[in-house]
Amino acid sequence: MNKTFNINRFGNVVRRDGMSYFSNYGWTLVVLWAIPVILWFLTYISMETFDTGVISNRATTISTLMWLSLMIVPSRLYKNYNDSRKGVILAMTPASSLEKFLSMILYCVVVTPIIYSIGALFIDTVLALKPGTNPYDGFIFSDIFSKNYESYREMLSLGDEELNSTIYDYMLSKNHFVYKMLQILGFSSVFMFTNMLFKKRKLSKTIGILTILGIIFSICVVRYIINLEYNFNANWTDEEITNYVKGVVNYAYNFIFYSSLITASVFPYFTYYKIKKQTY
Amino acid sequence: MITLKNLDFSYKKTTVFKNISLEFKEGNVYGLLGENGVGKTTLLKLICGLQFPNAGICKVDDFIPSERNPYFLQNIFYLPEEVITENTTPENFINKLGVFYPRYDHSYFLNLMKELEVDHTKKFDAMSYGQKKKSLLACALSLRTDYLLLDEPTNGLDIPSKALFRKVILQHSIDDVNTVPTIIISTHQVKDVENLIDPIVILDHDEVLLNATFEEISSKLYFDYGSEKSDDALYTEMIPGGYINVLPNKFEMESKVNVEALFNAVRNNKKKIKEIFEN
Repeated sequence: MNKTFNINRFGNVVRRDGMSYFSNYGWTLVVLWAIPVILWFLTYISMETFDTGVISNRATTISTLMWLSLMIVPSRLYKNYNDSRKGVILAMTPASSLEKFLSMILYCVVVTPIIYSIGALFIDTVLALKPGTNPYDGFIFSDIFSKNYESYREMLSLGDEELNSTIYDYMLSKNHFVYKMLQILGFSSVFMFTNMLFKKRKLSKTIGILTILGIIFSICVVRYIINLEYNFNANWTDEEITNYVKGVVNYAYNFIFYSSLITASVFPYFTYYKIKKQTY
Repeated sequence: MITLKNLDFSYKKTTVFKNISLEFKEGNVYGLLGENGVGKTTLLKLICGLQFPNAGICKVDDFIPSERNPYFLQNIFYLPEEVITENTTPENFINKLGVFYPRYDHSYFLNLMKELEVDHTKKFDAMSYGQKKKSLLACALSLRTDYLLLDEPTNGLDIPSKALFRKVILQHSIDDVNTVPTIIISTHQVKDVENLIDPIVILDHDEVLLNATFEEISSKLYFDYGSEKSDDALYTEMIPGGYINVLPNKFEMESKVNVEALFNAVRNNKKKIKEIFEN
């Protein structure tokens, strides 16, 4: 008798949650998939005026929408978990809190980004295949799966092309798979937890709190950048500039990595604890 | 067996139970009675682990409900007064739920739906309140759990549906396919379940006023259906053609228990009733 985890029981929870996935979240997915189509159409009708169809924009749009899908999914799929009336059947389901929690993780952290990304890439490919006048030139697969941070290159204007390239490659080397996964888990965990914490207006409350924290954080970052510019010496050699920028990049990545690590460790535990101790 | 021992429970500053002890034995259909707000629903929620006691013991067989052990949850089902489900059919609803219950019986579910005269392929949103309630009752019974907790199950049912309800509960309670289930029905519509429940538990604020079988009740109290009021009666109520007097059964006479009169007699004579049943 394993009361904590049983693969058959877990399978049943996954099956049950999966059966409700499209009925609860289907329309949201459709709207999120429709956004790239609308953007393509806007680009199409304005392509003579603006050059808006570059690959980096498309990749950034899909990536942003993927993050948006992560924000929304807990409050759509598991909105009733902490509802004193609607949540009773869920709480009484004969499965352990761990099994219910893992199924939540599966759908919020794994299934949703995969489904959304595959769907969005498919839509983008179909749009790119349109013959004749088409604002989309080429496919974004290579961009998504390899150098998907073209926008960084645009942001970098530190010196000559070689210096930009060195920093850019350094940034890419930092942006590895585990780092991205940790970010996704950390980000989703916050929304999974607030979904269990708030009874109403779950998403708007979470966004509100994150906005306030973001403003505070931005103020700190601005102060830090002002300080950086103060330290920056115009007479430095390229190597000194490279090392200095690498140091700053390293600092930023480490900050994001460790904050993601902490969020990805703490918030899942809080969510699990809420599932276990939620009363109705 | 369900055991509550020296149990305390409160919602923030509102005390619901203080040091109550109670037992529910296997294989009975308990009637849980009490005024509004005495904690009938809370008691059911404590038994099935939806609420956690502040102090004391709450045990169902060897399980602590608040731990929400899956093996415990497989053997208990709580049907709230108002169940809000997603807009699906009872068939889909039970298909999703039934896989978690090892003794779930789909053909029994279909039979119950037929007996309760509800279409199992109709969506919940297209059903009346009573139809929805009957569908969920069929779902609950077909899971064949050892413990079934029903909160105000007859609310919203019409007269024929109430009769059907009594019929299916009675059949279910004497069913010999599996172990005989323990059913607890919380209600204040005692007439709906009068011939169904035995024993009766009457709750009051903070305490259990009565937990007795019909046999025990009729041995301790005498229900006199006569044309006159009795001065010694614990409770008297006018009925068509006379009065019903609830009296201490000093001469060990047999009588038919009237649950509504019993409830009022207990409510008006808390101390005295306790004394009578403690002796």
